[in-house]
Amino acid sequence: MDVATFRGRFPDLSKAAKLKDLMFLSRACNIHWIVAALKNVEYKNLRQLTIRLETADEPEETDDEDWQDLDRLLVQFWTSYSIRPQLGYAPDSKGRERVRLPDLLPELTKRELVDLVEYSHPA
Amino acid sequence: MGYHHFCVCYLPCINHICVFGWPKGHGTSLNVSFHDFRYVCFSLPTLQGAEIPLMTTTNCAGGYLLQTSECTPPSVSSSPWPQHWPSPSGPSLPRERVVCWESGVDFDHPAARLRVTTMSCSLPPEILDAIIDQLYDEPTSLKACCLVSKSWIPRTQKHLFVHIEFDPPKHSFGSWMRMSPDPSNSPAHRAHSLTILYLPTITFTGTDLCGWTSTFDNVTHLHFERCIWTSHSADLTPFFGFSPALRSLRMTYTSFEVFDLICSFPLLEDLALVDLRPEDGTVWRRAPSISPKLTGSLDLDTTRELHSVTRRLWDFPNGLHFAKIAMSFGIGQDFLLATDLVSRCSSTLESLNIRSSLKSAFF
Repeated sequence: MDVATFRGRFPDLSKAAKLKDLMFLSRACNIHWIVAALKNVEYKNLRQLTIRLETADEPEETDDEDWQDLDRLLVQFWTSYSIRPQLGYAPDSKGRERVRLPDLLPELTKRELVDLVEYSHPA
Repeated sequence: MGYHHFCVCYLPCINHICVFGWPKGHGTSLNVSFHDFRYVCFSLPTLQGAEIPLMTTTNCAGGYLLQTSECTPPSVSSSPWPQHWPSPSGPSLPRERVVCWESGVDFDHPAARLRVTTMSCSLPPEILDAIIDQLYDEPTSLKACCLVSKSWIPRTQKHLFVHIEFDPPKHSFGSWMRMSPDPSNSPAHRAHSLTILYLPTITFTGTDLCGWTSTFDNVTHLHFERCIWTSHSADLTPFFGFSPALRSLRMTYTSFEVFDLICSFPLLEDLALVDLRPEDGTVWRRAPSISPKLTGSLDLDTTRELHSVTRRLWDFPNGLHFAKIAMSFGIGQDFLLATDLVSRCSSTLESLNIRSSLKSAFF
């Protein structure tokens, strides 16, 4: 199955009208599908949105455009629907964030619209 | 046998007192008046021969009863046994009038306070039940209460056996069978939650398991941990439909026979499958004509076998109606299955937790 097969496929949450709690746990390099899923989420009953990012020790290649989309989407979630997202990240061995969230999500962090939660990186 | 505590129990409704856990070397230090009691019951294992004559309880109207159920009393023959004491094999009280209590109970514990309460009249059974209910998470106290009286047994067993776990060799199947050989009055009927670790250790015992599993007819939560052990796969047949009330099923490291098992529980709502063994070409034992409710939660942590799992789930004739889905996938193909699963449950979905362990970007 080639990459093209996956392109454009993501969890279709547009019909999930009862959705209250949404959580994604993914490698930072796959942020695209999270953004794609969030773009069509049915927000009517949504109360909790959690995104946990697992990252490798080495820097991962991510698309800045995806992060910009995510930043804009999450700000919109707050301003339009009062949904305050929670972003989890696993620090590296020196306690630093592997993903520089303030850089990647500038608007969200500047307006302090997100709860950053540190969690243990799974073995 | 040395005890650090002793306890005294007086229950006016049965009009006798029980002394257990008599501290070694403190034969005369128990400052309790036995005047008003009809019987005094001493726990024999705690009475060391030399201490027996030191006890002066001459005012007890009905004499003394020696509790001999815990062990044979070798000290009796060698001790200066008071002539007026009934012999251990002598007349005994009706079972419901014998108070037994475990030793080592903390006096600060609610159960201990209950014991020394000076009740002026018998409590209505509803109140007694409510008191026992307060001890629902105190197994030691519940065990003690269970030995107080026959009338206390049903309520205490309700809590004592609400969750049963077989964890060999610590809690083995054999010891359970010895404790409860008669299925008709087995405490298994009181179990709401059943956990079996290393299932093959039970299914390979050669026992007629169908009769045994049917005693767990009120179980609503079932958890099998490691259904395959040392390459042996447990036969799940004895568990098919064993409890019509089953609402929740969690299986780890099992075979695909689990889907036949799932279909035997019509009221099943919650399903968790962790680490399924790679599919070995097994087919449905019987193609399901009706499937469980499956309106609760679905937890799939099968990493490599998601495609096989979802293919079986699609076969359920009544469809999927999960309100909560938590799933993990590790390969790109599984991502498509995950999206398909979400789509099938979108009308009922309230909570979604997707864990992807894909190592690289696939978009």
